[in-house]
Amino acid sequence: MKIKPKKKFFRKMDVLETIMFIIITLYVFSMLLVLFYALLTSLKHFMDFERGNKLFGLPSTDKQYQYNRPLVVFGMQFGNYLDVFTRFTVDASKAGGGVRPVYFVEMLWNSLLYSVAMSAGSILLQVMAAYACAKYDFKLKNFIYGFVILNMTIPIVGTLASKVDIATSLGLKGNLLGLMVLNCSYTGMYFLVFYGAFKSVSWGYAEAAQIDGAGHLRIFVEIMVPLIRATIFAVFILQFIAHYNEYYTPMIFWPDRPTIAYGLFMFQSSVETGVSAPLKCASALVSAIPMMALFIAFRNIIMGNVSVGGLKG
Amino acid sequence: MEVQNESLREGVKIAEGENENGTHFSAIPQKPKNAMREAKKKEKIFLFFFLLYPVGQALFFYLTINLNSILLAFQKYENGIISFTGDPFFNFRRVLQEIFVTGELWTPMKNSAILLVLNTVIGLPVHIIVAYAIFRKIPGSGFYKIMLFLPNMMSSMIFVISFRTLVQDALPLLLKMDSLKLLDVHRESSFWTVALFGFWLEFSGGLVIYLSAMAGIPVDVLEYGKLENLSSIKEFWYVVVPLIFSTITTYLVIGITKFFTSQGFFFSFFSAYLDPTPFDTLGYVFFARVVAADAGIRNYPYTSAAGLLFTLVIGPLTIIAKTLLEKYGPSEE
Repeated sequence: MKIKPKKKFFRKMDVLETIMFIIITLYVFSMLLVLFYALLTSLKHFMDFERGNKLFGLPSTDKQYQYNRPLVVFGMQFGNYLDVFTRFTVDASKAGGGVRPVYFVEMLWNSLLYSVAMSAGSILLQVMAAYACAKYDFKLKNFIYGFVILNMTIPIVGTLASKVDIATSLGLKGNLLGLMVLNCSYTGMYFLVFYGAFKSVSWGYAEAAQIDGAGHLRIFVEIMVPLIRATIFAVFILQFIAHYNEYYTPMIFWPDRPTIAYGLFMFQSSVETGVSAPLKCASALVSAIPMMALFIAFRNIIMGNVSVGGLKG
Repeated sequence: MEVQNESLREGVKIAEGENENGTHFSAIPQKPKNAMREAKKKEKIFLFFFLLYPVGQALFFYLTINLNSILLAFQKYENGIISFTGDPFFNFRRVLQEIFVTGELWTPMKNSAILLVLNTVIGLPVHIIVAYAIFRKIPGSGFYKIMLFLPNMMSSMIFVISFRTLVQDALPLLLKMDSLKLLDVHRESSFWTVALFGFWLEFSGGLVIYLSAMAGIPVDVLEYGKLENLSSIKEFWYVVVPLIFSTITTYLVIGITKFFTSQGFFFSFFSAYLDPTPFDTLGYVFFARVVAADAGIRNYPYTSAAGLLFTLVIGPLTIIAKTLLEKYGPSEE
């Protein structure tokens, strides 16, 4: 029986590897430090934090901080995490005028809705355009490809005002469908990712299907798309994460339905309004849980299926 | 060439066999000309409907948004409305005056240049080397890969909140310096603190893409390097960089364009300030002037004119950069 040699954790490294190992270790440590500090802060009583003497230490076990507080274990205020659901709120305008508070659960729902819609919409258009360009010869092919390169390399600066103006005029602001029509586009880096993926797929499969009588759409849906499904899924996860974490677009174009990221932005801006640091940190950490779970579940798919070529065009 | 098998699929006779080189072939009899024409027509119809929405949407919004931006640039905000006046170049004059006469845009330009150096000139090589270290499977690379991807996975607001609490509340206490408020809006330190925060947070930028590009390097090329006893520095410089240079070019060109568009993380930390601040960048100034709650539509013509002027600079610049990189960059051979 062949015994597999046990892999050593430390192997011999040369100069560059050693330097990078040290730098990356320090960097990861700094990141863990910041997150650990956020975790520690999230478990403190707001008075404990604001009095200043416990900014670094463990949460105070002082009895006065535990009065009327749920889930206190050795001074750690796990109740702050329950507060996220009731006190992490953002004001949004109501249909009939005035404002209404939007709570965490609604923000989470808005985030999921926004992220799924925007990711799916963009990917659908990018996959379609990339497939046509990679697999068919037609007059506009170079133009469609070149347009992506043009958008990426020569962005027209300062068009936000115009975009908001157009969105308002066309009634695309304030509703998800309008937002999709406005922002889901085939242009962007992931077009190149799909283009590369389709290029690497043999056309032989399509020819075989054509002989069996399959039409162009069927070849696309039933043969070509499944062949690059790993790439599509990886890009979907990446785009989903990016949209979940992005707050500019919802802030400008969908302000009445605050997402988690937008809520966090509003929440962190409210320094002067007495929102405590422990609650802010607890809200931030709770909001990260869905993405952490998603990434851990699909990390191998994400890390191995997205590559982009150059900007030749 | 010998035909070994003939089969019927959907009534089409297909010959299969092996040629002289031993490679498999299958020959489909040529379709008659009118059938070919019919197939081509079907293909055209398919492509037309298939691409109608994706291309139509992109072109429609590209044209309308840019055309509207050009029109806005020549208009003026007066008495609550935007309209054409007798002075169509008013906004352009204002932008140029703010650059060359009053110097109001000098701070944003200086800060944007610093961010360009920090994030592209220094940052880009760092991002590639970090990805390379993970690619080389340094000890703990599996864990580090996840940790390095963390900033992409979590909202930047999580780090902003944590960092702000740490730097603004805890650091002065730790160092017993009450006045050490690095993130106070009107302090010079606010720019550097947030700029370095951005550099820190984007330490492993483009990790997924670089790793995938490196994974695409042929194994035999890397094996040959090992046999030749290439050090990792040499392997990185002579093998990896040339073979992923097209990906690097993409990031480099995008990095250059960010001079006019990057806001760093200033908006995340400070929201929209309409008055001049020490952390103004071109991207931040024009973004804030559009989205600030009390700005309304009054800055639309001005920001559109500035955008148009900057595009006239950035367009040729990126084309030159791209051409030079493609011409003089390392070759795959």
